[in-house]
Amino acid sequence: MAAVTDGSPDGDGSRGGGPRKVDSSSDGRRFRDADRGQMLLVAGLVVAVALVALVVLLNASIYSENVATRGIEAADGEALEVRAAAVEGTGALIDGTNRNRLADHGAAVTAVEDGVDGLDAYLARAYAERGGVTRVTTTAASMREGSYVTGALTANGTGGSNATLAADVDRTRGLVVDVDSASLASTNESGATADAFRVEFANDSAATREVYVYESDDDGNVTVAVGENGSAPTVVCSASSTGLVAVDLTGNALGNERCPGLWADSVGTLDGDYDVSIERTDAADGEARLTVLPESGDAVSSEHTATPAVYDAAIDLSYRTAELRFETTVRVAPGEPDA
Amino acid sequence: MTVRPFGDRAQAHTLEAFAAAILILAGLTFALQATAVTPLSASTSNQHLENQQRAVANDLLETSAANGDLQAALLRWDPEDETFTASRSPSHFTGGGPPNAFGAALNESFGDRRIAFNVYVRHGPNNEGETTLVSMGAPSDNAVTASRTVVVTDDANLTAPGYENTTLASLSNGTNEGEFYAADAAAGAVYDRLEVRIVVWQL
Repeated sequence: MAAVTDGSPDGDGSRGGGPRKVDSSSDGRRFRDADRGQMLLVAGLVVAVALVALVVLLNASIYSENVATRGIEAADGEALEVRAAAVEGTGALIDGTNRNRLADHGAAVTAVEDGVDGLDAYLARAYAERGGVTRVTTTAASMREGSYVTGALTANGTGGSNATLAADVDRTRGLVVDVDSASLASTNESGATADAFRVEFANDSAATREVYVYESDDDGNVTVAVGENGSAPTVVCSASSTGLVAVDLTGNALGNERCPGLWADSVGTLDGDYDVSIERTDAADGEARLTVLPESGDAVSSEHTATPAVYDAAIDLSYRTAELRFETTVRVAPGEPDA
Repeated sequence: MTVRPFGDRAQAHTLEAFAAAILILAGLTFALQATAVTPLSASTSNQHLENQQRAVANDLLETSAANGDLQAALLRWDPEDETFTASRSPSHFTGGGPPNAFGAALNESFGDRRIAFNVYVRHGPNNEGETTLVSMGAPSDNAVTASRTVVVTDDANLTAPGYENTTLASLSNGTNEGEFYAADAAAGAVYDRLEVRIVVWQL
């Protein structure tokens, strides 16, 4: 039972009365001081927590807004994918057709045309699944005819140790020499001109560029060096290897190693059309292959085996989806150097 | 004696109730926001993981195709036992990529990061045939796929040990014993167009 004293002179018990009087008020409807303090505390807490909650919610909504509006970006590269598939398909087709050594250019061109039709049907089916429409076409007129040349690294009965692979060449692609690393002459940069096997490019004004392949007498690596007009060559790259190693002149590679500048520093600096020949073939075993575009006509003369080939083809490509329309013409010449 | 005036406290109780409610709500919100988002939990951030995995898979296919590893892996087929795995059973790989450069790239990009992958090869004139190269189990709901087409020609050599001089054409015309998993489906110099599909998902 609380003691309640009536008749407090002022309404505010806290000032006028003793401790007992704190609990009492004149009308019982006023707050006590302690009540007011609790009220302030609770109110302050409510406001603070509400502000924190507001901040958390605002942050969450900003975050989800941000995430939701980011692009999905998965289908962006599809047109390029179609382009790559068409180019690669046509490239493999052209090279495969050339390796089949068809009797004449007409047969090769027809085979490529038929193959592109097949590729068109294939791509149409493959991309219909994803809601895209593709069309790949080519014509005989958009193809350029040339020669596919292959030969062992021998003089092939020419009498000396040199043989011409292709004469009067405008463009070359896919020039790869597979050499047996055990058969290479062992020499160095200064001795290469006299001893090493080389592929020589000579233009009409008698300027030449040579690509030497030899075994370094220093570390035994297969070494590729580039020379100009018969002068001492500069080493471009070397790699240790056993057995057959592919020197990809147009692809700037020696086996699996990159060989930067191999083509650009040699044939890339030569003006006009040129002859491609292999020289000092007694210093290497292996074989060479290349596809060439003649300077005139549709075939080159060669002291090895040159057969009718398609050098390149221009394909018309279109790809269409609900959101995208992509049309382009691409010239396909697999293994053609940039320079 | 006076009855204690409970009416005084009503406002304070109301405010306290609100404070308690807000505290509970704030606690719940905080707990939800702080929950770890695992790669398998359905959430918005998951989409980005999927995009990333798809990009990695696409790039892997692209680089492997460019340097010839992909084609070499597809041709690593034993035509007499009709298997990718020499004489072992099953005829596809289950614990990782095949033992070649393409397999090493797969293991490095996915296997080592606890990402599982299946590799299928689709072939045939209407792309209806499917051969499994790698199968690491059933993909989860959050799996992504990437695909690339590889053209193989009639004169392509197998890369399986002991069959390096066997061409696809010699298998299809019966010159050599055995059978390739895809039939000669295209005209001319092209043997078939093999569509390689990688399915990847987080374990």
